[in-house]
Amino acid sequence: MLLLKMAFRNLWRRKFRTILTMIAIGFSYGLLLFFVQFTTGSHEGMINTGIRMQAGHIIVQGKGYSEEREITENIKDPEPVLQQIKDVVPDSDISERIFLTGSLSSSSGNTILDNLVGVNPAIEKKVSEIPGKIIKGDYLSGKKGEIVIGATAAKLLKVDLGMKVQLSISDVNGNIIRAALRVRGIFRTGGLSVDRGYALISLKQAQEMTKLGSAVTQLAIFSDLQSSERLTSKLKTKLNTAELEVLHWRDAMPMLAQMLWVDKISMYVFLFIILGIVSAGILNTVLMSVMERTREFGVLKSIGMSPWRIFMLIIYEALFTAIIAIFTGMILGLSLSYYLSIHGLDPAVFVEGEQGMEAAGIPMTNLMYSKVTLFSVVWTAISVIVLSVLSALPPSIRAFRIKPVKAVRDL
Amino acid sequence: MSKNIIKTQAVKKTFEQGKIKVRALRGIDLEIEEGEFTAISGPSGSGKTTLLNMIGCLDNPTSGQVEVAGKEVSKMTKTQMANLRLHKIGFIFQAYNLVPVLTAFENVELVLSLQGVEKKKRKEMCLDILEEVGLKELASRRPAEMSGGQQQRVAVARAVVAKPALILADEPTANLDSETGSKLLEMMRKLNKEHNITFLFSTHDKMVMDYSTRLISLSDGKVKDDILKQ
Repeated sequence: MLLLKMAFRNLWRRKFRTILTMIAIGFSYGLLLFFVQFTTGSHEGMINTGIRMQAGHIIVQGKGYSEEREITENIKDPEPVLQQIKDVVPDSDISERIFLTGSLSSSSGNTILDNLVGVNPAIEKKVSEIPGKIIKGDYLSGKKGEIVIGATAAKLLKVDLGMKVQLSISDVNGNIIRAALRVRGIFRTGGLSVDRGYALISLKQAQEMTKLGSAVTQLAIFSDLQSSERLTSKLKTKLNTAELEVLHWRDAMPMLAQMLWVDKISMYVFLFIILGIVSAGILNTVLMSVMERTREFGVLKSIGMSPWRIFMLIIYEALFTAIIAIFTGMILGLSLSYYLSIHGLDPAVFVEGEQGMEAAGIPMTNLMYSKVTLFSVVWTAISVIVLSVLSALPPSIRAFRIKPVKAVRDL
Repeated sequence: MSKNIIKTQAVKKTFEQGKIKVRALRGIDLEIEEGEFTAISGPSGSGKTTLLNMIGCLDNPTSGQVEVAGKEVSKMTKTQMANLRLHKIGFIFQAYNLVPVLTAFENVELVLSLQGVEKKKRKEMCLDILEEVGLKELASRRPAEMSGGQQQRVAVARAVVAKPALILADEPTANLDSETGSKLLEMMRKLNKEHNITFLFSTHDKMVMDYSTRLISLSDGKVKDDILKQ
């Protein structure tokens, strides 16, 4: 107890130095906490956007579809598959989709569609981003003869609501099929390629034009992010057959997964740099303080304090410094993080003009929120504490080794 | 018959300072009995502090034997030496060397705390000894808030509180004026008599030599004179 008291009081012998060190550690920790929570939150946001635009938390598709994206690799009879999915994930929303490529033309021009999706509007309204991004008109009603296109495509084709456009796609036999569709809605996501090359028609329309019958190319399952991995493996054991494959969103959108991975690595590099600063701060302060007190440690050893107790005294000093700094930094980090978890950050602040922001084919125009979790607070705090103790080891060992006779002779 | 608290046999100590070998002790044979109040004097470089360091288990001799409280020191490990210092030896330094962040009470308490004495008993023992050295009222003061004499009295209390067999005092009066020094010596003599604690001083101070009951003079690392005054 007396040792703890000594350690705590020792911190304030050089108030200015200790406070400066605490500020440096606290500020670094606050930044680190904020950065971790903001990265986690913004990644989740990007994943959710990706999932809602292009896939689901889990997707089921025809085996081999991923390789060539040929509509011949489809799910021929979705009904029993849907039932099997419901057995494993009863609370999920499941959207049947047909992904196609094609072109759209009007009297004024034409554009390529990288993603023409045939959807069931009733379910898509619950799970997709697009219904919320409609800037003109409405989302699909489910009737045939309708199309929803992006704002850039509408501009290129010089079409507006209610006007007709001609859609050309290949059917399941490779024949070009054309249909004249009326523009029911125009959306804007802010992502350049999405606003130009993404369009929606009803599932029935897609099935008719492609002559797929009741087949679909994708069953997108929406549950939640946390349990998605577990549910994927459950579904895999049940549904991975010669015709079907089950993919986690990470495998369904490898570009996005890879981009997030790279971003996460850069977060860890940043984290490493910050922890390096913390480590240098602690090492410097503790080492200075040990060197200044060589005589004192000699005296303490002379009166019978064991080297281990001296060692622990230094470790406690580093611990107290880190803990106080962490609490201060926590206020800073959590305040910033909490603010952005409520109000979000508009990614438009990172880009100039009207240029859209897109990553891995997914528009990044939604507000980015940070995610405040107890887990992130705890693991970052523990990292800083462990690092502080490790940084205090060399000076502690130095103090441990001080020979009382030499220290006392320095009088 | 009193038993020996310190016994040294042919103690030699050589320091290497660069290429030069300094022979600080050249064969010291000494026997000090329990309850003695002994001063070791001699000019600078005569080996007083070195000898005190050997007896205080702070350093090992190059050759020879040192026995403290019946234990052969030169064969001890560092931990055993620390243990012997903690339980059998008290130290008083020229520069007081109190722990600056602890109060007078806590400085005295530190030794008992290291010995594992329970809190209630510690408090009782600390207050008793602080009263004995006349500092009970200043128990909550930190060293920086006390005069040199007061600090040295706290240092004496710290050295004495656990009733060690031996107290080693290296120039304890060197930083004090003669009146404060004299009071301190009187106090130590009283503790010596009342608790039968052996005091061994290294000193230049004539007053310390006058107070002591035995005077050992060192010269060039050897005992020159050994005078028993009683």
